[in-house]
Amino acid sequence: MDADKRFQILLVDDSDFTRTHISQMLDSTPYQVVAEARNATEATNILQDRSVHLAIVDVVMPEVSGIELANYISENFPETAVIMISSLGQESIVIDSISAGASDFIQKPFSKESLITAVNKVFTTFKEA
Amino acid sequence: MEISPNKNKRTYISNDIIIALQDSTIESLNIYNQAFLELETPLINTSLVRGKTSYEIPVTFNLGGDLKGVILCFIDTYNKSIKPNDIHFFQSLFTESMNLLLGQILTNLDKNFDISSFISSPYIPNDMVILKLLSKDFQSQKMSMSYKLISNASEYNCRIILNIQRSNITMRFK
Repeated sequence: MDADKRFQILLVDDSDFTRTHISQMLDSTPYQVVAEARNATEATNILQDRSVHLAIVDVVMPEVSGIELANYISENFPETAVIMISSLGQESIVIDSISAGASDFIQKPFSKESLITAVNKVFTTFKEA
Repeated sequence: MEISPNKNKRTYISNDIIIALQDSTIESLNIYNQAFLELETPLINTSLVRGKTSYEIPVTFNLGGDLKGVILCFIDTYNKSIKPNDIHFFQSLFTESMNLLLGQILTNLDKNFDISSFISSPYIPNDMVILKLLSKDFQSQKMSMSYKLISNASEYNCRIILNIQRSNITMRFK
């Protein structure tokens, strides 16, 4: 893959620890974390300035939830796929995530393999489009 | 809300829900191979909770859904040396560990007992809020448990206090 056009990812999570850890998990993969946001407002500001292929979004965040953000991304940035993550794994949350346009949902804590499998799936769909 | 045989003591949730919560706790949790949580004291009803010490770092979550209330978590840094540059990471690690732990418990509660509850994003309470939440006058069912957080060959005691103010459910089992 052309290094300048690596699959570009935005991380959205209010936990500094989680964002750092996901970035480390994606190091030395074909996927590049190009931006991080602590909340939905920061995420939408980033998306207005640049496009990304994928947003990995935490469900529970202050003020505006990840579900609302996922809805917003689906409507306004349809070229950006979304993977939802959360410490909560209730069926209702998974359903809400998919209904909001997410391609996948992963419950935290997740392994590097689970994360990369989910990102791979989105990347494959993107390539085939 | 039930009135217990001791008419001076109110309970806010039924014994069935208390048992469901106890059955939903977990023994241990791997925090992305960066830390581990291990259960020390199982979840029990608590009427008196000791106040926060100056060595304890707090984090709070609001509880909503079928169960409503507030969850207070403390990590004890007494006699631990944490470098100033590491404090932010340490607080973030603790906060996320509690988030993951509570998330697992609530997921189990939903899966096994059909009790659907959620936690808010974490926030740091001020001392007045902590005092109020820990006070025996604060009208809630208090339950507490403790875990050890093991990170970088150090162990830290964490205590978690659930203040449950009400439930909207009658027990139903899947």
